[in-house]
Amino acid sequence: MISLLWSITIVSLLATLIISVYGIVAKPNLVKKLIALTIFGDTANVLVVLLGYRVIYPVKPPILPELSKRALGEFVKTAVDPLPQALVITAVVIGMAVNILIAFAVIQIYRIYGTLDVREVGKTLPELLRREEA
Amino acid sequence: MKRLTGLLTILIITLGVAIYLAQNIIPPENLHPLGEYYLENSYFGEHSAKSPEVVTSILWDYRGVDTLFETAVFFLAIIGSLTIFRLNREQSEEAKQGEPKPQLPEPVVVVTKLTVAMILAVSASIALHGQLTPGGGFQGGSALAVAPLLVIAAYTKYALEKNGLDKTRAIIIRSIGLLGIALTALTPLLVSGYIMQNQPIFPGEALGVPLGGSLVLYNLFEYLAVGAGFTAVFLLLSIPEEKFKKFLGVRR
Amino acid sequence: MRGVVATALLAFITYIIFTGSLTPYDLVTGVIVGVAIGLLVGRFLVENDAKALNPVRWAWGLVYFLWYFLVAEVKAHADVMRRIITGDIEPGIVKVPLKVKSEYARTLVANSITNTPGTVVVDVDEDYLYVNWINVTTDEPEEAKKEICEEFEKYAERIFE
Repeated sequence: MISLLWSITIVSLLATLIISVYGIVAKPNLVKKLIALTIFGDTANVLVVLLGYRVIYPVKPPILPELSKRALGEFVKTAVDPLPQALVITAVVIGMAVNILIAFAVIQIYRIYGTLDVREVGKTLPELLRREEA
Repeated sequence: MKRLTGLLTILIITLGVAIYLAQNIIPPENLHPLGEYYLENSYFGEHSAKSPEVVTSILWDYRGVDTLFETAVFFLAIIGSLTIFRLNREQSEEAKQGEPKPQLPEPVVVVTKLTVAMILAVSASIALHGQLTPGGGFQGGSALAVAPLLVIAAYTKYALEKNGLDKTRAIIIRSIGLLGIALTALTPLLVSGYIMQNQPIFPGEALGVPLGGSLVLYNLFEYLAVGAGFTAVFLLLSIPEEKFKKFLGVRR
Repeated sequence: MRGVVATALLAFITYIIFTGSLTPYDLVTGVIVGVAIGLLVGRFLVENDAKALNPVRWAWGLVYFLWYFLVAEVKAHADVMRRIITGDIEPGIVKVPLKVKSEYARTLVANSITNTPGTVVVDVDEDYLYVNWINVTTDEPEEAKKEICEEFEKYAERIFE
């Protein structure tokens, strides 16, 4: 039963990854692409955190409950792996900053071209350039 | 209907694959050796960071250089956003012209004022206890950035700027934070250590709690830098659309 | 330097409650953070230091807190429960005049009305509150006030005016 739940968790995360890649590729709207990208990034982070999880009971966060050598043995037996969490925490904040960067670019594109559809943007750019020349 | 069929197909395929894999997959019950090493050494042991919070000690000590460069990526992204919305001097002066009037009904505005003070306290607590409890510079900074965001929503961005927190100041605070991180990383070189060394150069314990040496300093500076960086971004985002279109010369 | 002490106290208490421990480290950093926040935002929160630090007003605040949660809330809950079961309702929006002038007092009255079941403040302007009321017995502003918020306003006057 537990291995079924575990495999459902992993496979559904992989399915989310695939769906979000589809969203990035297939949706013409830039905002929808950005939403799909954030879903992609967050799912990848969850997968990395999952790498450090332990399917045992009880399972504890990687923080020493008390500062004594005696507690250490028990702690190592129950705590989850801290390394993936440490890697993810920077990835989350960087992901946020990169999303802000992309969002700014999307807003600016909308201001200049008046549209968010990538196909329209492709057509509008040569028009704008031609108008400049004339 | 078509959409529903697609979703159902995905659901069924996912469940099928999951049930098929469940026979061969073994849920992990043991630690990776590296993780075990970190858990054992974070507070006790030879290579200790003197912090009971293992994630923070990995973040700013064992893998400190990693985080240093990830911070660099973060700030390049923020700088990129500021560059896309770049304004010249006159334009940024014009963007500051506006009435700092409350935009929401009076009770909302008054409660926002109180909440801002409390959010500042909470974010400082998150950042300063990063070496003891979950939390740290990144999380505290993100919480800190909520305070100016609330002010922007309840009043306007002009209220922030009239009272001294404009984009330039935010970038200056952010630079102070970054400078602090760099100095903390370089300090061990003065006493013939290596870069980003933690123990035994920085104090391991003070005022009755483990400080984690340089961890508390890194968290503090990261807190300032992240909070101020996001504040600068929010200030730029809240410039009204009409003004920006005027600056860009768009007639639409 | 207006409002530094009161705001620092608020920030310090929030800090300690959020941290959940009382080691010397928490107290020292809490005082530093509190004073910093007081210097940063105190002048926007407090108009009059003597008023903000007056213990009599704080005592009235405590009395109001107890009275509000033990009496007013219970009464309103019982009333709304009865109305839900019997279906005896007459909803509508009434205009209620406000006598208090300071912004904190008005916020206290408005939030107290909203937090009791059966009445919700939908808008505020200079002299009036607009209250969505579960059982409109009168649309006379003064009489509606007697039923909805006279008690709240008395306390608000003692605490904030």
